[in-house]
Amino acid sequence: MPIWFLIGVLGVTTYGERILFLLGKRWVLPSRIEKALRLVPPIVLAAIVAPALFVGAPGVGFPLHVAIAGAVAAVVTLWRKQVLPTVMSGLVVLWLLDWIKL
Amino acid sequence: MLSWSVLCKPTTERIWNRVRRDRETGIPGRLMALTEEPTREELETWAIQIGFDPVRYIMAWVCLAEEEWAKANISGTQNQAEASRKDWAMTHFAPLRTPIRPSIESAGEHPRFSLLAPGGSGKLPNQELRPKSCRAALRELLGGSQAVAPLALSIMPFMVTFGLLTRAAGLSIWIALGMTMVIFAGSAQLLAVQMLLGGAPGALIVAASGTMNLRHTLWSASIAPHLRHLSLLWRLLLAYFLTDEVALLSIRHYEQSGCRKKRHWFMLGAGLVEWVAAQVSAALGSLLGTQIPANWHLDFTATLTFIALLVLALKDRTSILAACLAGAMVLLAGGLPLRLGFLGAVLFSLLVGMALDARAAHHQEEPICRSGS
Repeated sequence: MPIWFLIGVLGVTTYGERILFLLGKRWVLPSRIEKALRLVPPIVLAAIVAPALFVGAPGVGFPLHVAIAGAVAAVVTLWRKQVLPTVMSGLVVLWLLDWIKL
Repeated sequence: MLSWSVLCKPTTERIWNRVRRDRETGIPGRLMALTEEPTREELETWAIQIGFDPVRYIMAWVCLAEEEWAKANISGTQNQAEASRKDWAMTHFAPLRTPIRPSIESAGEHPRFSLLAPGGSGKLPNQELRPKSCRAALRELLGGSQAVAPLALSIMPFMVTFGLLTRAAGLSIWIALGMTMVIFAGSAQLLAVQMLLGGAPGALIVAASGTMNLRHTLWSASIAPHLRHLSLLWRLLLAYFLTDEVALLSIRHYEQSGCRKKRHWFMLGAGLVEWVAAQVSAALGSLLGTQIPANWHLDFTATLTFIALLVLALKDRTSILAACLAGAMVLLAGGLPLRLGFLGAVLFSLLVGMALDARAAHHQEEPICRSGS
C-alpha cells in the first residue's frame, strides 16, 4: 500500500470519528447519556495513562522508574494545578531515576 | 452564489425558536411576571448577550406576543393582564402593532425596521454591534491559544519523537508533515509509524489506529451539545481540531458561566496553536533525526501531560471511581488485539458511571420523599 494512500485513509477515518456527533444538528442524546458524558475525560485519560505507567516494553518487567515519575507528577499536579510543572517534574524525576540506575 | 434567502433562513428560524423558548421560560437576569413584558432596552441587551441581531430578535418577540394577544382576544378573556400587555406594545412598539407573518424570510430588509432604530436609520444596532462581537471573538481566540500553550509545549517533545520515528522508518520530512496535517492525532500517528517500522500490513494499521481514535467519537459526543448552534461550516472546521487537549479545554471552558456565544473561537484558537506546535515539532524531529538519544524519554511528556489533565479532571467521587475502574480494566484487558481492550475498558467504565449516576439520583430523591410524607 503506498504510504500516501495509507495516510489518506487514516486521515479520513480519524476525521470521520471526530465529526460523527457534530454532523447531525438535531441528533440529541438521551439526557442520562449526556449527563454521563462528563465522565468521558477522566475515563479516557485514565485508560491512556494506566498502560503507559504500568506496562513496560515487551520483554521488560514492571517499569518502576516510570511509575514513580508518574506518581510524582500526579502529586505535583495536585499541588500546583498546572500542566507545565507536572511535565517538568515528571521528566526530571525520570532522568534522576535513570541516572542512579533504578 | 448563494441566494439571500438560503443564507438568511436558518438564522431566522433560529431566532424564532429562541424567542418561543424565551417567551415561555423568561429572560434570565430578569424575573418576568406574566402581566409584564420586558422593555425594548431589556430585549435589546438580552439579544446582544445571546448573540442575535437585536432588531430581528425584538421583531420576532413582538410578532409572537401579538399572536398570543390575538388568541386571548378571540377566546374572550381580555382581563387586566392582557390590557397591560397591550399598553406595553403601544408604548414600546407602536410602529409594529400590526401582525407580521413569521414566514418573512429576510426580516432584516423589512421596511418597518427603520422605525425601530433610534434616529430611524435602521442600521444603527448592526453597526454598533459588529465591532463589539468581533472583539469578543478575538478575546476568545486569544484566550484559547493562551490556555492551550502549556499543553502544546508539553506535547511538542512527543511529536518530536514521532518525527524521529518517521526518520527511522525511512520516511521523508514531507511524509512526516503530511501525516501530521492530514491525521492530526499524535498518538495514532505514533502507533502507525511504529507499526510501519514493525512491517505490519496497511489494513492492520488502519484498524489499530481506528480503534485507538474511537475516543475522539466520545469527545465529539461530549462537545456536541455546546456546538449544536453553529453552522455546518464551523462544525466541519472544529471537528478537524478535535484532539484530546483541545476537546478537554473547550469542554471545561464551555462549562464555565457567562456568555457562551463566541466560545467556539476559543476552541479554534486552541486548535490552531496546537496544530502549529505539532507541525513544527514533527519537522524538528524529522530534521534532527538520530541526534536525540533515546534515554531522554521525550515521548514520556505526552503521558505526563495526560496525568496532569487526568488529575485536574477528577472532580467528584463518581469520576474518581470511573477513572480507577477504567485504568484497572485497561491493564487487565491489555492482551487483546487492535487496542480493543482500551475501547472495552472505556465503554464499560462509562456504563458503570451511568449506573452510579442513577444510584446517586435515587439516593438524593429519598430524603425529599420522606420529608414530604
